[in-house]
Amino acid sequence: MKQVRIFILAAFACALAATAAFAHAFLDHAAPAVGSTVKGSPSELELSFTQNIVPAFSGAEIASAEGGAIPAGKASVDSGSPNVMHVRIGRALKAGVYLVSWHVVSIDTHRTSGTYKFTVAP
Amino acid sequence: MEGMDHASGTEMITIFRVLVLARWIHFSSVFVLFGSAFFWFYQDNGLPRARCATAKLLCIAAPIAAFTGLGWLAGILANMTGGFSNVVNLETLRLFFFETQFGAVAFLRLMLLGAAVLVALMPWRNKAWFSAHLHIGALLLINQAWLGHAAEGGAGLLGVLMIVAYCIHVIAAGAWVGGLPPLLFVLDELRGLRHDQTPERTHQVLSRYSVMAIAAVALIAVSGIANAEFHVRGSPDALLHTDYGVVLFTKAILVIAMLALAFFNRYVAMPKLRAVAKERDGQTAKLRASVAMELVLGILVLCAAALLGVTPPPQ
Repeated sequence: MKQVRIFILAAFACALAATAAFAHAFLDHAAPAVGSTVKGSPSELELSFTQNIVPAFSGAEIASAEGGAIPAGKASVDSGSPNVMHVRIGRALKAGVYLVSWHVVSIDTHRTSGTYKFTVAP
Repeated sequence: MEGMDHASGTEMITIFRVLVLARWIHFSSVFVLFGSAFFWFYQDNGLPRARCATAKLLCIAAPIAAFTGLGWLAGILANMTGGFSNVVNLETLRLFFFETQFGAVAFLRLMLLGAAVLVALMPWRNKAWFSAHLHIGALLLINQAWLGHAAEGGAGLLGVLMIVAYCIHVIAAGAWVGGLPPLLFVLDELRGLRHDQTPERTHQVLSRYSVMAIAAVALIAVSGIANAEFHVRGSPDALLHTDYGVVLFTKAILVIAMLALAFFNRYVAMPKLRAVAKERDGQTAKLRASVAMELVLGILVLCAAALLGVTPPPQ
């Protein structure tokens, strides 16, 4: 009877079981913020993710509303905040809407990507 | 990365399928390397045909593990860089192995897979040979922890707990599922023995396997709960209405089905084997069929595990 109880308990526990599932890094917040309007051209993008990321395989591209590419630097990560990606913007941004296309690889090897917009006010 | 070709939606689906398939077959072969070798350290060695069959299985599992391990690595690289065309890029490989925290882990994994193939090529089939497969298999299972979610806990106590929970989970699962093929070989060999010897020896083999399996299931349950808690963080609602939740529940149902079969084998089939002499052959055949079905379910559980690992958990 005791062994039957063990089996039932084990079965119930296994119903809650999971392997060590592999997480993905999603965008938590950014600066300039997603959908925001800023005064003056930002010097860099700062993207904070839900997991730590690998800078060697991460990055972001910036494009104007007309589709023109804006020069951007390589992704970098502070050792103290390995979930925050910094991307320097290669030139001053004129007033207008800009599209950021980001891609990151989290420390468990999974890649995620996304886009968002922000506006530079005149 | 600059200059990298980024995959279309169709190619990303292909990368996903390659990852799942490679991981499924790889997990299965590594479970065999560990669990099937481990079987002969808690069982009676006086079953030469079954032991020989296990040795052949290990010789097949080692190269399959190596090949699919490379496939898994290629899938990881393709997923990270946006396409298979970037996988053999020297710069990609340099960055992967030397500028990521999982590069060294992947390198160690390749070394272990090479060692598994070398051991398989050796002509000896003694205890040391089985022990080598057991240890390589165990190290491969543990190595996986640093290639996935368990690694994100960091260097603190949480990170250590996540790694430990993962390692316990896969080692216990490997012992349980990986022990089923040699168990089938043993049941097949015992079928050829004298009728008066078969029930006692079958009972002895199954009893020893059951003791191991009960311990393994208990460890799987505890570590599985811990792993799940690391994900849902006290909010099981997060699992509802997500692909991750669907795959997880599928896996759990398959595991429960395996447990039901294991329960049948231990507490229904085994006692009948001893009790009813004239139906002994029929009972033994039913037992073999049940163990075979348990193995099939175990392989399906590994498929669900392979899929779970590339499915985003609830945010």
